Amino acid sequence: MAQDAQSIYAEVSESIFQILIIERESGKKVAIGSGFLISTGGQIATNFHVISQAVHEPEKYRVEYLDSNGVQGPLSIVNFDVVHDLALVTLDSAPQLAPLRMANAEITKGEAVYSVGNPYDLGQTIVPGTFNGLLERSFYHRLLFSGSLNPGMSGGPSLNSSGDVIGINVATSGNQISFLVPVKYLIALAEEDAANLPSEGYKDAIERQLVADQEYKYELLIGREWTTQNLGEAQVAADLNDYFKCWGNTNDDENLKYRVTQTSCTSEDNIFVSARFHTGAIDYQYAWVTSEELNTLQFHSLFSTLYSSMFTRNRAAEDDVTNYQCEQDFVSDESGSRPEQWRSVLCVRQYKNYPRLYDVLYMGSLFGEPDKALSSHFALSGVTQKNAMAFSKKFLELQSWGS
Amino acid sequence: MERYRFDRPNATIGRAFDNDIIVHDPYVDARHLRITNDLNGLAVENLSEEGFTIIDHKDATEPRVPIASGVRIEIGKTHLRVFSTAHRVAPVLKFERVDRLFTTLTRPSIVAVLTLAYLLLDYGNTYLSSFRETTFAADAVAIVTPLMPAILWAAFWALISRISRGEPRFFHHWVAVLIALSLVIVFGRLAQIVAFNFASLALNQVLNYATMAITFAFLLTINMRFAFRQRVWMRHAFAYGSTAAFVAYLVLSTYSFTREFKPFPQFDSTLMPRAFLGRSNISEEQFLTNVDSLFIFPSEDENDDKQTERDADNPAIDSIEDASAPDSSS
Repeated sequence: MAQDAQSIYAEVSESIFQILIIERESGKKVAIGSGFLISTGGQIATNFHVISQAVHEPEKYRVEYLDSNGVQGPLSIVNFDVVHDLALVTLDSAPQLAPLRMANAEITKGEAVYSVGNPYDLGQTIVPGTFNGLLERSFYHRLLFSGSLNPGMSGGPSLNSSGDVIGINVATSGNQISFLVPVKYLIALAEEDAANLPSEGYKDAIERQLVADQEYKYELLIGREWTTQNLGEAQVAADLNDYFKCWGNTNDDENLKYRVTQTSCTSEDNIFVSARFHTGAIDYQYAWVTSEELNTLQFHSLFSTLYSSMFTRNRAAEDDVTNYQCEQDFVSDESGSRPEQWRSVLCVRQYKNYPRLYDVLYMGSLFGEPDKALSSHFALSGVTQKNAMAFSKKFLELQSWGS
Repeated sequence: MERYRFDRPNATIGRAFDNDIIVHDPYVDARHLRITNDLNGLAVENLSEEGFTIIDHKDATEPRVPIASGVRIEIGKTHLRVFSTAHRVAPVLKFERVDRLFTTLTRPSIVAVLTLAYLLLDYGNTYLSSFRETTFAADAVAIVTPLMPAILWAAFWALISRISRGEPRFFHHWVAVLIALSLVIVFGRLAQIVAFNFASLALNQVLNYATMAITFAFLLTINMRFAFRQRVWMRHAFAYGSTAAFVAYLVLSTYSFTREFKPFPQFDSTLMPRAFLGRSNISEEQFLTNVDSLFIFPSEDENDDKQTERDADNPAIDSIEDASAPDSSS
């Protein structure tokens, strides 16, 4: 039965809470989000990023709820899914409230969706919008919601016109482009047995989830044949799979004595681990550089300056990662049609809290010609040694002078 | 004290700028006297009508007075000693090699040539690292700008020389700066070739520091030589001591830099044409094998880790234990 915003709000508002992260020392909130009741036992769903401070530093922060009647009380963490940005917290005692229903039917594009939450601590609001499909070109499927999500609404439910939860509010890019986590991941998380979590420890649980996630991602990447494309006179990898967004660009500044044609591909998947630590992104770039005006010394000097810096897109601080260690050498491959000489640099840093995972950077320069050269670069974040080596091998084998 | 050498039969002395030796002394005439050296031997000709000339403590009244090598002459408040090249000069007055070199290098025409040569070298060096179309004006500004601190440096030492010895010798200090800057450019390029071949950031840094140290030591040694009257060992002790302090500072700051957290990797990105590469390549497999060993990271200090874990688990009990019997937990 289709309902309007008014009746949906009336039906669900009692079971939706504001989630507060309270700093123990000051007793005041440092972050807010939303959450909703999903079981009669008092389990509340929210985003992992809403409660992440309490996960990482339980001695400094605790989680509390504020219900629609203004009652505030403690919550304890039950389980989380860091990859899909979901978390389950629980009330101390089972409330006399009806949990929200999960939608089990597929939702179709264009259907009305109502998102509920607590933007900017202004009080509970309901935001109408339109469902605009599943984002399939991404490692983690997300729902595209054309409506305005704002900070503080994270963790709140998005409902179809029957009042069933179809997704969890998670992120926004502004201009009515908002994203929801599909409810199927929440159902899976709720069914998971979380009895081992306290003994395993949150750190190990996060590492386990991140490792499993990168296994899934790199299996998709390494297991398949990579297509190639020509860039200038060189052969490089084309789109590794559909989850990468690729862009191209050629400089046309007349004051420059050289031309650079670049392709740049990125998987726009960044997993939120903490406010200062994101991981999971994969990028790779190629640049074909030519010059008719520069002499060979100048050309090589240009190449040195253009590619003297490299970085990963993920965010990390001193407490999260070690410094990079690099291996650099001149590498040749005589097997191709033309002898090749690479100046290759590969750098690795380890995650301090999740020691099975690393960030890996590669920079290669195919040089030796006086007026043309190829630079290739990749950046993997949150990858195991095994997968990083497999990816590197495949990447290095593929790039070459074209036939 | 100034020294002049002449290998022609005569030289004039006076305040005017067209003299061979220009004396800044208000008691000296514009063109005061001429020293001649011909078959008749050394002689002094008095050209001044009003100024007086004292030779060997005696007033010279004759227009031409023959003199012996090494004789003392006073004009105004200026003292001269004239030596013929045949005369054996006392060791203290002997020109050392460096002095001789700098006497030649500091002739105005040679200073001009050296300055021009340095500008060309600097331009060539900048040109190798410029990848944009530029205008002449922009190039000119780019080249002259780094000369400004060099001029200030030379002027600073000229001032010290003026105070300490009464001889500014700006050109001496200027030539020293030019040589030092040229050394930096030439050594820098050589270091680049070495760093490129060894593909090593550490080596690149060591070479850079060595270049800086050599240049700095050279510059200070020359500057102090012309600015102070101190003993040789004192000058050298100061010059090399300062250099050592400078290098120590560089090494320490680098060491502390390497211990800091850096979000970007540090590596050597020097790339040069293949002709400069004097070593063989490794295979792709070898490279990947080397890369594999990068994944071994020294683990964090284990004691620290244990302590934090224990603290996190049960802060209250831990603090009591620490206060009374630290080992009671085992």
